[in-house]
Amino acid sequence: MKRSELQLVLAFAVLIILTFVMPFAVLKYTPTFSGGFTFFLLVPVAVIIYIIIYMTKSWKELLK
Amino acid sequence: MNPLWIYLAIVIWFAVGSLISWQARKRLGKGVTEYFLANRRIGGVIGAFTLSATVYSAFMMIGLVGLVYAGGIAAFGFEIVFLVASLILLALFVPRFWIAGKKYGYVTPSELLGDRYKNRAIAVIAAIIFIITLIPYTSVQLMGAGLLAEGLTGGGIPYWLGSLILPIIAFVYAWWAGMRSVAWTDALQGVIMLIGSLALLAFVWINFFPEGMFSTIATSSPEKLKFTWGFNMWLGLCLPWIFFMLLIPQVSQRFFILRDVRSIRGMIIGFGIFGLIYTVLVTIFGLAAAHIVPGLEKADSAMAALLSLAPVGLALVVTISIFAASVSTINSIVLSLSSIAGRDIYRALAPRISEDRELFWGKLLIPIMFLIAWGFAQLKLGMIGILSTMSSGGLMSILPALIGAFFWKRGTATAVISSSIPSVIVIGWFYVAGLKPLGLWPPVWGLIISTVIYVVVSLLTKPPEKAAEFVDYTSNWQENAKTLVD
Repeated sequence: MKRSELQLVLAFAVLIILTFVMPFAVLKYTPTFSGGFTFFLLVPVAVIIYIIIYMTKSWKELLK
Repeated sequence: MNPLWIYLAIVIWFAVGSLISWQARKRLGKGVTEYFLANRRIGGVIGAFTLSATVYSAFMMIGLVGLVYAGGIAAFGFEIVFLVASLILLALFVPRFWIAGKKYGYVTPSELLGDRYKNRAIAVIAAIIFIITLIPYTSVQLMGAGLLAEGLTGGGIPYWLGSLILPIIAFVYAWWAGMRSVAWTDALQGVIMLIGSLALLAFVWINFFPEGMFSTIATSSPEKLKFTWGFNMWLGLCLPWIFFMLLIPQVSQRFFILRDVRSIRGMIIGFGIFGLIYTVLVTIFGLAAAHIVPGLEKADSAMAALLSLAPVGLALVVTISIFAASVSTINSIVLSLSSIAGRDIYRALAPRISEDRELFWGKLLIPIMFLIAWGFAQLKLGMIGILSTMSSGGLMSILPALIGAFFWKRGTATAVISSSIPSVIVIGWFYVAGLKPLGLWPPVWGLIISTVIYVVVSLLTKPPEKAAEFVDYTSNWQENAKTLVD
């Protein structure tokens, strides 16, 4: 497994921890759109941007 | 609603889809790879649409709207966890599946497992697990269509007919020209799903939230914006969905169909964008329904209640978009299961059959699978619901074997067989008996059992020679892809 892929695995682990901690630590107490709704909206936006950057950089030679 | 309107809309929708399918038919070549994998020549855009339309079924517009209606944003979070986990796993696994398919000529994911572990029984076991778990899942799609058609027309379209129309349409698309037809028509279904949802959003927003949707909901239903699920429920529901994309054959088979690395990137990005838009829209419908039609006895009827307030034209477009979501899922499942039954089960019984013969049996199984699924749907059993929930949970039994296939050279065939069978039995037993020891849901127990057995037995047995070669080849997929391109 390459280093960039290890970063991907690490990102996966962080993401899972985040989505399993935040709901019970914070989102239980935020009955507003700026709470859970915004959190669950921003997470995929961030992941999509991260994945685009990852694939473009790591697979550069194969995308020419 | 007058049933004639629905019949007319279905005829127009089917005619457009058939035209696309006919174009695909004109390009159909010979052989199993051509029929079931479109000769591995699908590009990024079509790849993204067929993956999205296959993954997002009628569950979204009926089931998830109901879940949000009843449980608020926790249901939204559950679907988002699935989306983001899938995106990362896709970036990690799709290139490996793809290069392995190119190198070894795999047509089905179960064939990949059988060959990697050098044991044909593994392909057969995986194939049987896929068929047992996915036929009830297909039936639920048909049940949803039957209930929706019956409900919207006040019984004008009876349940049996409503649940029969979709498999007929899906059969035509799948049988006529295989994967290319399914992928192309999935693109049409994906566009219809987005158009229907956006049109409904505009209607709901303009007519029911003139002072702003978010501020109105935050005032009228603040409890829907709070995370209310317990940890064990969250874990039990999320865990199978995190790995759903790897485990469901109609999805992982799509990793074989892509033309090149550029197509892989296009498919993953497109799926992410489609998934995010569609999930947000569906969540908004659930929250809006909680404000517009509160107090429904059955949360699953929230979408039908919203549609009953919409003008006929809009209700038709949304209904067709829900049918489109169903068709694009069931034709992919049945095509995939047919290829699995032909390649991994029939070929195991008759190893020397020709490719033409395998294709003949694979195609023959398409209408048979649809008939079985439709027959299940007619029973309207609560058991089907349980089996459907079990489908994603039950597949957790082969997760360690799948991850080990690509990343652990020590993984052995004995370990796969001895871990997957007891695990799937335990998951099924816990679901049927309603058991949740220590509060943990069946898939969690299934994953623990299969992982422990897989690791321990692998360490005690000798891996096949193919294991090291397979893991090295797929791990170095970038270098190997260059030689493929050259």
